[in-house]
Formats: sequence, structure tokens, C-alpha cells
Amino acid sequence: MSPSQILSLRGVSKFFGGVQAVLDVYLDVLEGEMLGLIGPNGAGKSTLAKLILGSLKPSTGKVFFGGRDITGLSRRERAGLGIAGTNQFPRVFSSLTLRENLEISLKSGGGKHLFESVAEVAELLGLSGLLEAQASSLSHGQRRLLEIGMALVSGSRLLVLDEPSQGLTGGEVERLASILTGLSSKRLSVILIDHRVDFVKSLSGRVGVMSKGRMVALGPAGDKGVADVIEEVYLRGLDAGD
Amino acid sequence: MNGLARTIVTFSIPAVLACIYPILPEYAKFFLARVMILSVYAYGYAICFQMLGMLSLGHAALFAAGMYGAGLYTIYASPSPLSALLMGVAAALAFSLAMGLLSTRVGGPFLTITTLLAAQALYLVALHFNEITGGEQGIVLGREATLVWPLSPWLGESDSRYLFSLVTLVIAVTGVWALSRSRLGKLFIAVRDDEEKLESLGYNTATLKLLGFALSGVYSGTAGALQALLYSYVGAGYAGILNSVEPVLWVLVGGPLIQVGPLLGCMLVNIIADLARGMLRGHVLIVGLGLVLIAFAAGRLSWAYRLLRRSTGLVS
Ligand SMILES: Nc1ncnc2c1ncn2[C@@H]1O[C@H](COP(=O)(O)OP(=O)(O)OP(=O)(O)O)[C@@H](O)[C@H]1O
Ligand SMILES: [Mg+2]
Repeated sequence: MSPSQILSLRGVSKFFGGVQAVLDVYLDVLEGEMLGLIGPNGAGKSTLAKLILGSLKPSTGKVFFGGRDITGLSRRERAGLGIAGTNQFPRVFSSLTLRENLEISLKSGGGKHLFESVAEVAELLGLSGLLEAQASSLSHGQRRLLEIGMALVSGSRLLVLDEPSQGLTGGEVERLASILTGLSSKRLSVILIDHRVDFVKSLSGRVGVMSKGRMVALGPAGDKGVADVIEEVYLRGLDAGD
Repeated sequence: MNGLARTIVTFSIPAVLACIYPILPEYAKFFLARVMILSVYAYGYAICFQMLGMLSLGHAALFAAGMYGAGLYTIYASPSPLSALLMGVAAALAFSLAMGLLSTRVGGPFLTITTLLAAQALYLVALHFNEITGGEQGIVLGREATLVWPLSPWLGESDSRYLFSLVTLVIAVTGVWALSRSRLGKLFIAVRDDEEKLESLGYNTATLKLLGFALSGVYSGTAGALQALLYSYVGAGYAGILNSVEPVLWVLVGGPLIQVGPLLGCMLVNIIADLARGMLRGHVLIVGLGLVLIAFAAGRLSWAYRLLRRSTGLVS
């Protein structure tokens, strides 16, 4: 494994009873890269995200982080190594204010500290005016941005975003795109899972395509082969893996 | 409500209790002193239930650990009320750590069942060793073992009880007020809101829950120890299930503001129970259930419902 790889999945599978949610996935994520991950509903993207974050354990296969086997580590232990993420359905602490949500996330993880203050990240999220608002009063999009902010301040080396643009307004999607673009200078690795193909392509260096649990394509965002597979799995609903 | 307003509201009731003291009739003094001690217990329970979302039904054991720890110490070791108070608190702390270690490993309804069974175990032990504990009948402690005794040359019994209860209440309220503003308090609330999410940020929620349980135990044990040392009596009745259920009621009736709710709820339930006892000979629980209905009807339903739903984990 070359030193520039931060995360490696080696033959990772996850079965739920008879359902093969993730099937024999090999994946390397490089230091500082933004890797896009797309695929139709039920392709196994969220399950793969959870296997990386540690909220699920693989049925078979191994997960390496910074060269170390972390397959057996819990979600919390992985947070301590600097693996942060957001959920497909945003999860924030609804009884606390926006400021308190960010405060308890600040430097709670074990990675490098990208932001020094809550005010700085609130500004970035465009939520400075709402710092004292209770999180339960936020709109869906604001909660989503808040959760991203919490992951950003927690101190992370790898950020896994599961459908961050889902349910956002047009303005919020633009805001998100500029936040993610800004991250490229921070040498943070990001896995960006999203249904908006153009959004993912425009932000990511490489794009992976999942279908029926398998990683059916992986390559540069502008790659013709990748584009063909995306078209196949999305538009024709074909299982490109077979 | 902003921070300053909340602080004023928080300390207003204890301030009123201090101001009205000179004009109180004897019975009211007696009654309010008791309610203040129970309110300390209510605050302790609220740390566990309202902040952390753990619906314990075993807190009577923590109250009783404080009561027995203090009371039995004066009987079998030394009639020194201050060391007895410390013994009571230490016993409650030890018991809450043991109970917390068992119950916080499992969540939701299992926590409730575990705490309930642990408390029943203590209750049965107290009954079994009735030569030592006095069982259900209880034991009356020596007068010189009580906290009111050293003050007796200057203050009447009911006056010093009122004084001790008020001072303890103010300390308890200040503690909860400070906790609710602190980072630890925010983390407790975060555990209640979404334990898994907090864990995913790198926090050890098992430790947080245990800490909350222990803090809650210290409050409950202090109330229990004072109960013994101010009223010179220990009895297994305080370890019974009813004494575990009542604080749930106080907290629910008291409403969502943790700085005042437990005190308010405890006073309200006890005042109404006291009035009704005369009229109906009704059991406090019946009155309590009536009050819950009233509280729900008053629009608190959503708050109480959310708290119960979260803490039992029946709906995620
Ligand atoms: N906890 C679970 N128990 C059983 N089956 C599950 C579980 N989680 C996911 N699955 C199944 O695994 C498959 C992959 O689901 P996953 O949520 O990973 O897909 P996805 O690519 O994220 O889809 P979407 O785009 O809709 O979010 C689906 O068939 C799903 O029903
Ligand atoms: Mg998904």
C-alpha cells in the first residue's frame, strides 16, 4: 500500500440476511482527494459508508485506515482516528442550539483541526445568524448543513458525506458546492455520495459507480468509460456488473 | 428565555421560601421542609431522566442507600450526624455506580427493568435483615444523632429542619443550574437526543451515562440521608417502588425547564396530595395520576410524550 492512500477496502461485503447490500468491494481513497460515489437506489452506497465509518461491521473483508487494520474498531474508535461523516437523514442534537451542536463537535474527533472556532465554520455554512436557534427549529437543509459543519469541526482526516445535497434548496446546493470546493485546499479526503451526477462529477477527481452492491466502475470524473457505465446503470437500469 | 431570565426564575422559588419563613405557621414549616428535601431528590432524578433520558424506576434504592447509610451509621458506628451524612452520600454513590454499571449498558426499556429489579433487591435485603434495618417498621434514631440536635439550644426542631432543608435545596438548585449551563450538561442532553450520533463524534457515551447516574445518585442519597438525619427515622418503606415512581411524576408535572421543574412539580404534587389526603383519604398515586392527566391536558403532552418516548426507546 503506497503512503498516499488513507483508506483501503479489501474485498468488503455486507449481507443482511439474504440481501447482499455490498459485494466484494475493493477501494483505495487517496490523501486529500475527493472521491465521488454514485449509483441507483439500493446500490449499497449508504451501507458502504457505514462500513467505512464503523457503524456497521463487514460480513467479510477488511478495512484499512492509514495503513492500519481498523475492521474491528467501533464507530467511536474510528472517530478518534479522524473518520467523520454525515448521515443520509441528517442527525443533529435537536434540543441544543446550533452553537451548542458545533461546540460539542469541536475537536471531538482525532484528526487534524481544520477550523479553530465555531464562528468560523458557522460563517462558512452561512448560518451565522442562527447560532442561538434551537436545532429542532431549523429547516431540513439547515440541519444538513449543520451536520456537515459538525463533521468539519470535529477534526477529521476522512469525511464521508452520504447524500449531502438531498433536500437542499438551489441556494443551499451552491453553498455546499463552494464549501466542498474550499476543502480541497485543506488536504482532507472526502467521499461524496450523491444522486446528482453532475454535482458529483464537477467536484470529484475520481468517481466510483455502484450497482447492486458492486463497484462496477471507478475512474476519473471525465472518463468516457465511467460516463457510459453511469448512463447504463441509471438510464437503462441495467446491471453493469453482470 | 434568555440566560439571565432563566437564572432569575431558577432562584426565585428558593428565595420566596426563604422570605416567607418568618410568617409561616408551624404546619406549613413542617410540610415545606419535607417538600424541600424531596425536591433535592427530584432534581437528582431529573438529571437522570430529564437530562440523559434514562427512565429509571430504581431511584428509591439510591434514596434508601443514603438514608440507611446515614441512619445505620449513627446507630451502629457513631452518633455523629456529619460523618453520617457523608456515609449516606458515599453509600448512595457506591450503589448508583453499581446500578449504573449494570443498567446503562442496556438501553431503553431494559434500563428501566434493570433499575427496577436492582431497587427491589435492595428493598428485599432491607426486609430480610430486619434486626439490623428495622424492616418495614423502621428504627427511630437517637435524638443526639440528628442534625437538628447541635442547634437545639438556639433553634426549635422545625426551624432547624427548615434551615437545613433550604440550604440543601439552594445547593442542589445551584448545582443543576450550573450543570445545565456547562459543557457536561450539554453532553448529557446530547446523549438523550441521539446517543449514537454523539458516539460517532468520538464521545464515550457509556461513561457519560454512568457519570450522570452517579451524580443523580449523590443527589438522591443526600436527600435520603437528610431524611434520616432530620426526622430521626429509617424504614424500608422509602426503598419501595412508590418512592421510585413519584419522582417520575414530579419531573413530568414540573415541565421542561430543568432548573425549576423538579421543585415546582414536587411542590405541586405534594400540596395537592396533601389537600386530597384530608378530603378523600386518597392515595398519593391516585392523585398523582390525576395530576398527570391535568398536566397533559394543559398542553404539556408533547413535551412529556417526547421525553418518555426517547427514554424508553420504544419509538426511535
Ligand atoms: N439494516 C438493513 N437491513 C436489511 N437490509 C438493508 C439494511 N440496510 C440496507 N439494506 C438493504 O441493502 C441494500 C443497499 O441499501 P443502501 O441503503 O446501502 O443503498 P443506497 O445505495 O444507499 O440507496 P439510496 O440511494 O436509496 O440511499 C438495499 O437493498 C437495502 O434494502
Ligand atoms: Mg443511501
